[in-house]
Amino acid sequence: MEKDFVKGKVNDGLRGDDSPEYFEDSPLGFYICDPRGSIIYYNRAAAELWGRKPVPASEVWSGAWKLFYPDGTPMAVEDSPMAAHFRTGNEGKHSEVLIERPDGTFKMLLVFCRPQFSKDKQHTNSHFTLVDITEQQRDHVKQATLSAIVASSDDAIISKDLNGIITSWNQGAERIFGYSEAEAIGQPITMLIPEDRLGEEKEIIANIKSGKRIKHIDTIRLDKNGREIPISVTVSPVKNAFGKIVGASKVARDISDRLQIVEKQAMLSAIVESSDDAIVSKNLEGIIMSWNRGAEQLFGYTEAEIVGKSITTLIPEERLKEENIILDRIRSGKKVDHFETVRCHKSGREFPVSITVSPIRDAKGRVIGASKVARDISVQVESQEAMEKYISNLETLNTVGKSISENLDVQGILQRVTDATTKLTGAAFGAFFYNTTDENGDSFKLFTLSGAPREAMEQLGMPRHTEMFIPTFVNKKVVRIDDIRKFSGHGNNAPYNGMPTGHFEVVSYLAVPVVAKSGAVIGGLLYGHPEPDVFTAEAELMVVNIAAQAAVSLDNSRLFEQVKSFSDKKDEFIALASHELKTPLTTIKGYLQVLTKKDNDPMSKLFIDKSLYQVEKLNALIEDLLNMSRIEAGRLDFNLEIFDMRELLGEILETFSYSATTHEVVNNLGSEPVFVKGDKQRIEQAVLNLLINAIKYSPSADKVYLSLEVVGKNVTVRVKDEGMGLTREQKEQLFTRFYRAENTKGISGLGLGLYLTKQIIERHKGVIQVSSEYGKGSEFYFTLPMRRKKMKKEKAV
Amino acid sequence: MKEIFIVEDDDGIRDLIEFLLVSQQYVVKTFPTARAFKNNITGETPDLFLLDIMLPDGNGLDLCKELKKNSNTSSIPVVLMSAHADINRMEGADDFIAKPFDVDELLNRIEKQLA
Repeated sequence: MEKDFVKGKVNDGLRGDDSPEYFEDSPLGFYICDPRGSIIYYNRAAAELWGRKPVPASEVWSGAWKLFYPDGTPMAVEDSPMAAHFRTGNEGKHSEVLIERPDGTFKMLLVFCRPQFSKDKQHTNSHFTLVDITEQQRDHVKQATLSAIVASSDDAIISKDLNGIITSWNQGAERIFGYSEAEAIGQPITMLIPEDRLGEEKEIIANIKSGKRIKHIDTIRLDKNGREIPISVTVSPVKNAFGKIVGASKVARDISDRLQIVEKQAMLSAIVESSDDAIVSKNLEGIIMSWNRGAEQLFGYTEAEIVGKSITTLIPEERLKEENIILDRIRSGKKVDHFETVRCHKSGREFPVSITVSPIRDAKGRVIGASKVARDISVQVESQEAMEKYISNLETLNTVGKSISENLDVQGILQRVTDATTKLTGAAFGAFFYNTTDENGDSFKLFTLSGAPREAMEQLGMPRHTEMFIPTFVNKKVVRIDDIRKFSGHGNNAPYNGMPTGHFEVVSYLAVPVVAKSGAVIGGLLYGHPEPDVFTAEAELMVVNIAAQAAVSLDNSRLFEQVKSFSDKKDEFIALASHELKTPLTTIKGYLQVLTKKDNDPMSKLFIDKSLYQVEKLNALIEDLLNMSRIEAGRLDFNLEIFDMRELLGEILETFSYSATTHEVVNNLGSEPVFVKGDKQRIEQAVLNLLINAIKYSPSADKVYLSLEVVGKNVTVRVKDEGMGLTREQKEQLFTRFYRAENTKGISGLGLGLYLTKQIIERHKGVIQVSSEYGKGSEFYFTLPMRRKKMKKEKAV
Repeated sequence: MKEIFIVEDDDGIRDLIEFLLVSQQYVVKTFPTARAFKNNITGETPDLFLLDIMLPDGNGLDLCKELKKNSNTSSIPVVLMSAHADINRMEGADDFIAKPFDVDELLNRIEKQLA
């Protein structure tokens, strides 16, 4: 039998009750396997399901090309439910099997297995029925997907019947309205509707009944807590299989967020509108699209005037390039931050602004325009400029202060002060008037001028004691006038009755007195400018400060000039006094000399000699005084000649030894002549001074030393004593005028000798120095440049 | 007998010099001021002028210049003297003597000029 099945035609081998003809046209797939699993029959439907026609008796358990478990994992045919059924012999078992067909499509099949038994209960063949459940499977997935969508939706998805009773309730509904599914189902939908909106529901139901869909109504619903929730609702009719409307599905979306955005936008618009900054938007062509109140105020155009016009309306011609640069940046999505530039007001006035430009993008992120915030920075710019000016003013003040405190020359101080303050105040011109009156009356003498030629001012006469000037020059008041034409004191004075023709045009006026410590007005600083409102309070303050400094300096300068004139008078006096002193001295000396020629007794002769000695001393003192004042006045004259220093020192020694009887002068003058160029008499005076000092300050010694030495191109003369020596302080002050060492009581002198000696040596381009050990003696030495011997010829000339 | 004109405003010095020169057998005429000198020397020409520089109504330097300009007196030696040591240039004069002077020095210089 089995053999027949294998070999036979499809319809062969079936037993009577199997009647293959009966299966042949069945819509269900049907096939038969023998006990070994070989397919011995299959019908047309089975072949369609498999998508192929297996060769009978050559395949076992299934005619499918490939087998899978329902979850998609491959299934070996031995493990298939068909094979398993045969092994276990279970009846009526059905299993889901996924097959792949040769064309690549899949079918989900439900396989029913029915084992056949012989009369002796031996398992014979097995019958298999295949049901195609692919479609059902797909619907199931669809359903599941839909459910998942409904469940996971953020929107509330609710269905209700025509009586308004809730029939389904998703998680979104639960989240928005707060009721759980169990709480909501079976309840009337009206529980969600505020009382005053119940009418809406009737209208919705009416629409639904007539098959209409209601789209996006924005309304209010209540949540479980009675809180009002803004929602957007879409309601669609639900029809049954017969197309009859049985209810409605409702999708509600919480639009609180959306409303917040709207509110936010409203708020933003309010901010934009109320901003003092100009906020302007423009498209990529630079056409103005919006214009706030701030922009209206800043630029002067109304919204109506400017929207639709090019942004270049606001840009000064020379800055038009800026707009291209800005637009290029904006097009590439970049921002322009705090760009400081200049823009035009409707009136044409230009003013500094700081602008920030940001790209505007559409929902897709494309740049479609730019928003521009502009702020008037005139104040900042002004304050920055003011700051810079202030710093520069401080610098000027500093240099002026320095220069006027260092300077003792009146004209110099006043010129500096006038120049600097004219610059500081921004005046067109400034002048300092010295507070003096001339013989004719009340005029001030022009002293310095800045910003205008002196001649121009001098031609015009001096400021007089008019009402304009009294406050400054008499009452010591600062006068600052923004517009002199409005000042009542101006222009009422003869002879000009106003500004003299050709006078500097003065509209802004500033006058600051310069007051001395004594309280006297030294003068006044006057400034003028042809424009009104030029002089500021700061400028005034600065001038006042400088005037105060200048006053101090002028005081000092006056003192200096006084001292200088005293000094000049002193020199005159000394010159006169010395002349007057020498005149009687000449007579005394003359008669004493006449007396020496007479035959005198020894005592008279001694007395006459002593008197003559004192006359010489007196004469030397007068000479020292004279020389000192000459040196100070820079009028010490020199008769330069080239002479032999050795010879001069020899001469000095000869006469000196004669008059100095207390000390021996030990000398070492060498054997060669030493030539120097100088005033022989002055050098003699210098050497004598040193020798006299050496003797004077070594009263207990009996020797002084004089030496001459040549070192390189210089000659040095040394005078050494073994006297009291000098302290360090004494050495330092030794050469100053009128200096006399403290321990020299009982030793006469004016303190001029070393001072004059130093002056004489230095005027010969020489150096004088001292080395001394206190208590052991001092050595004074001076060095002069030496001349070559051949220069001796000059002396002859 | 050499004649010497002296212009010197100080009485003491004038008397001293006069005494010294007369002692040396000179003929001496003295003038206390520049004006007195100018008024009284018309036509007269001494052998030497001894002029003080600082005079109450002028100065010896100017007198010296005038004398040297005048053809009648231009060849006569002029000796200047002064206690004002600033003036140690001779300014066209033949000699200069600083005050206070040495009596012998004065006489020597004058003698030198007259030799």
